[in-house]
Amino acid sequence: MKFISTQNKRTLIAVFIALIVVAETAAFVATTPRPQELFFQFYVLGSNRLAADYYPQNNTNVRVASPLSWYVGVTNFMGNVQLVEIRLKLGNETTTPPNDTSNTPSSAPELITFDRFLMNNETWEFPFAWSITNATATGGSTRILTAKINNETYEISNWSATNGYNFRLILELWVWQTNTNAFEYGWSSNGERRTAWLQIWFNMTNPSSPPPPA
Amino acid sequence: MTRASDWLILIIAILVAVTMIGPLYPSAQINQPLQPSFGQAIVAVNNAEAAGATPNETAPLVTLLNKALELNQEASSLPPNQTEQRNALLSSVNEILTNVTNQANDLTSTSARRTYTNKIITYLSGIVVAVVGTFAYVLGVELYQRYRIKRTFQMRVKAK
Repeated sequence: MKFISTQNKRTLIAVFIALIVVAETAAFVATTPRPQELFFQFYVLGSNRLAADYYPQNNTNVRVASPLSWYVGVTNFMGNVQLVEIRLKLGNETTTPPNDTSNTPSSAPELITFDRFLMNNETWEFPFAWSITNATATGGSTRILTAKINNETYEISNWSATNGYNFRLILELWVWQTNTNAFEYGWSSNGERRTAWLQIWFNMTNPSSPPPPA
Repeated sequence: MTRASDWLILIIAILVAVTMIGPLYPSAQINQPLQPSFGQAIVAVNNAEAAGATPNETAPLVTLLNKALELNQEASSLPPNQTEQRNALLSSVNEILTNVTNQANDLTSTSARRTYTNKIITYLSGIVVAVVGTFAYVLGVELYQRYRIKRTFQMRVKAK
């Protein structure tokens, strides 16, 4: 070609190399995955799937056989498939809650667990219907004896509160660790340990069943 | 003097070498499990994802894993005297998990090959773009020179 025969070939080579650098940089950027924040979203919703209406008429004073309908959800943003476990713990005013600084779980007794494999970006939301089915109030202390959760009845030992005030349900998110082959409280994200937990308080100052509807 | 084709061959050789040395797919290092079944299965699925398996490909495996979880919970909730039923359920769980692990391993190989091929194609596309761009540059310069020559011969001398 006339251009090649008359012009400096170095210009042509420089143009070609410049284009190669630009195109291959674009190819590298296109094929390299972006770093992203790895986390879980963990929530509990009320009966209308809103962050409200957790108790009928917003009365946190629960009675025996009062049905409560919540929804518990987890969304996986960890970038791959994860095995998660939600642990329900029973606490009162003196219970030590999970510690966000030391990333330690609550020492409260565990009642039930919910397990699930979650894909990346998948949300697992399940109904959490519960009621206290038996409780006693003696000597200024209310003790919950049995509870029904998702149609399963559980016998409970040692869950009491002074005058029925400040019971709480604690939900913790545990994640399967492939290196230890066990569930661990929380997860690691960019070298840091992260945890997620929820708690909902309620009272039971009058354990007797509500009067039947007229 | 070095020819342009020599430079092209050299660049292609460097690109191929870089591609071969570098990781072919995001190599999330997942430790091998200490225990079988669930640990093995989740590691296998994670490896498939790291090799480039799409959510559509891993979704059936996750469904099977959740089925195994359900059966496992069912087995653990059985009363102690129902040993036969529990063993049958646990056997099904192991069967599902073995199946998932095998499928995930196959998926890892397929996905790794596909990711490698896509990467090669992407990098080769870069070379093609550079070649086409260089020819466009040559053509542009050629057309510009012709235009300049044409304009030179169209010039008119005007007396002041």
